[in-house]
Amino acid sequence: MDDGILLTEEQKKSQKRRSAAIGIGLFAFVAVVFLVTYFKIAQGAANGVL
Amino acid sequence: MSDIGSSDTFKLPAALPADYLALLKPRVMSLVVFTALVGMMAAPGSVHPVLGAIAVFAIALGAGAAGALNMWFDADIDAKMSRTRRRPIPAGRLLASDALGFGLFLSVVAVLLLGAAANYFAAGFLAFTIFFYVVIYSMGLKRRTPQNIVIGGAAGAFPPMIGWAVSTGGIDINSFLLFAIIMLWTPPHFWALALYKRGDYAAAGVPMLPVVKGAATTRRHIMVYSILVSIAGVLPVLTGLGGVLYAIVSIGAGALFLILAGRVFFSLAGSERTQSKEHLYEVVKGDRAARDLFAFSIVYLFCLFAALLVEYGAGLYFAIPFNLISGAA
Repeated sequence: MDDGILLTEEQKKSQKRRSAAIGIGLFAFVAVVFLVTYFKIAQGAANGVL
Repeated sequence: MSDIGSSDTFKLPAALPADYLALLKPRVMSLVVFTALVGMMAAPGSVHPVLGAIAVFAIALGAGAAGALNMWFDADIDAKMSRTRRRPIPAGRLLASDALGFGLFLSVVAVLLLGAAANYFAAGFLAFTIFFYVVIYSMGLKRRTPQNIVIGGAAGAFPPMIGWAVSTGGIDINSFLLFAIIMLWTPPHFWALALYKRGDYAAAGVPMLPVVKGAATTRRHIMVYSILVSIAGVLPVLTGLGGVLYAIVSIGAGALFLILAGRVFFSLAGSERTQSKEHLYEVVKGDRAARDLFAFSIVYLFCLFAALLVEYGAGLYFAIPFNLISGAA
């Protein structure tokens, strides 16, 4: 079955660009969460909590 | 086998990442970032620079999420106003339901991120701000009362308090003063815009003050709020939040704000246009006064908060020899 939504070339292009933006956003989110975790742990260690 | 030919394509909007970025209202976001940063810097607490930067990013994300939710709800009136009809949803580049999903997702991410990077008081405050802007202002007040921006202005005034809460975990009189300045600044700022864009608001059915009560009433209200914001702008000097530089800037800029508001008050800004050439000239001249006040109001707010940023960020705070909180120095 090949039923489904047929995208135009313009829609395919914009879909690719949205996918790339989601990928970059996801990567940035992981990096931000990593930084928060790292600096929170470092702060905790400096304050003698850990 | 169905034959899906090129003539049977689904009309899906071809939204680009830039359209999603436009949903976040980047210009409003930049003001939010700036005022939140000042609130954070001026607060007596301390915050790690990296965590502080992430906290400001989270606040910006929350403001953007609120903007996206506002665009989802207001798509119908945005389509009727020349100022907003090129936004992604009324322009047909993005589905309203996509904006709703995007805004809700970003709201959750922003609040959780702020909670993790700073504290859960600030995160709760951010969640309340998004709720206030979307539900209280956009859904409740905007289409119902000409006082919409007087109360709704609180949403735009909360960011410096959130920034303050990032540093201290709470609020105090000085953070409330930063809130009060923006809250009192909002009505003359938007009413000046509404005076020369009243046709737009009338077409969209938004009961802005000039549309409902007329231009003369609006000019009086602008004058009253301009006096209030000029006084509020100087109050941080009396509590010791603002130093010498802030005192000079707030008094000078406040005086100029009053002069421009006075020009609007004595003008015909926003009055009904007549066919007579003489009156037409006067109206255009009056609209110029409203445009000048609108433009300067942005400069005014920027100058006040920039003065605080310089005082606290660059270590150029020199105390005024008296203040209401600690008494005479």
